[in-house]
Amino acid sequence: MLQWARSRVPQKEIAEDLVQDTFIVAFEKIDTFQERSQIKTWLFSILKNKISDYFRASFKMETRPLNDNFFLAESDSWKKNEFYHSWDIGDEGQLLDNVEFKAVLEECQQKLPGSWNHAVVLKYFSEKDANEICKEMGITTTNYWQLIHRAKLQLRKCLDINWFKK
Amino acid sequence: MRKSLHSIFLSCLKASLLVEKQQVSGLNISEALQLKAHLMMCKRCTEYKLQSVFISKGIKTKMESGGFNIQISNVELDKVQTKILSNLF
Repeated sequence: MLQWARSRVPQKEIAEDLVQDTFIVAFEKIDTFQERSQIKTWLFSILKNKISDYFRASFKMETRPLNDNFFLAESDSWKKNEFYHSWDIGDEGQLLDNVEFKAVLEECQQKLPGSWNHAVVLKYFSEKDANEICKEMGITTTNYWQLIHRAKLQLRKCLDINWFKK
Repeated sequence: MRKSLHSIFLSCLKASLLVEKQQVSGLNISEALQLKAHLMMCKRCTEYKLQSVFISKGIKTKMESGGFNIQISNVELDKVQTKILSNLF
């Protein structure tokens, strides 16, 4: 359960807290547990709810105006300094497998607000479709692209500075 | 002038949003056409699309190769277990 939570929640401490909360809830509600289902399934369903609650709360805290300084306010076109020249990717497969590159990418992801990274990562995590992810995170699909969009803008900037310009 | 152009050809903000939507759930016909028209004229958004797709691939590859597999040591596990038990009873 801890491993499962850790792979979904950015900070280690929060994942641990959520697992702990799960056991507390389970402990209080053990009467309502129906023997028809497996205890493991039941615990995971509680944990899943806990994680959704956590993200829902963190989205509310992180609601910021969309623009994020990448676009001009009056025309919604790119700001002058937000132009990145073509990246010298070379052999794409080789670069994607490069350990150092992966480390830089991971570092860039860790710099994102937790829920943004969650949005980006969930997509690849278990072949979930967008609707399912949105449900789990308690957001609308439009919010979901916006989140990915913002995350991508930041990731792009971060990769540009820390990898492609070096 | 700029405003009316945007309503036909999208702003860069909208276009780059559609680039993400396209990767997540696909676009409907009118969105796809609008985006295509915008990308034909806009070098910056074309670059954005290339880089965005590349980043997606990067994240995917990283996760498939186990970059996101979190290993939890037994020591750590014991610590959490003790903490939970002490809070329960």
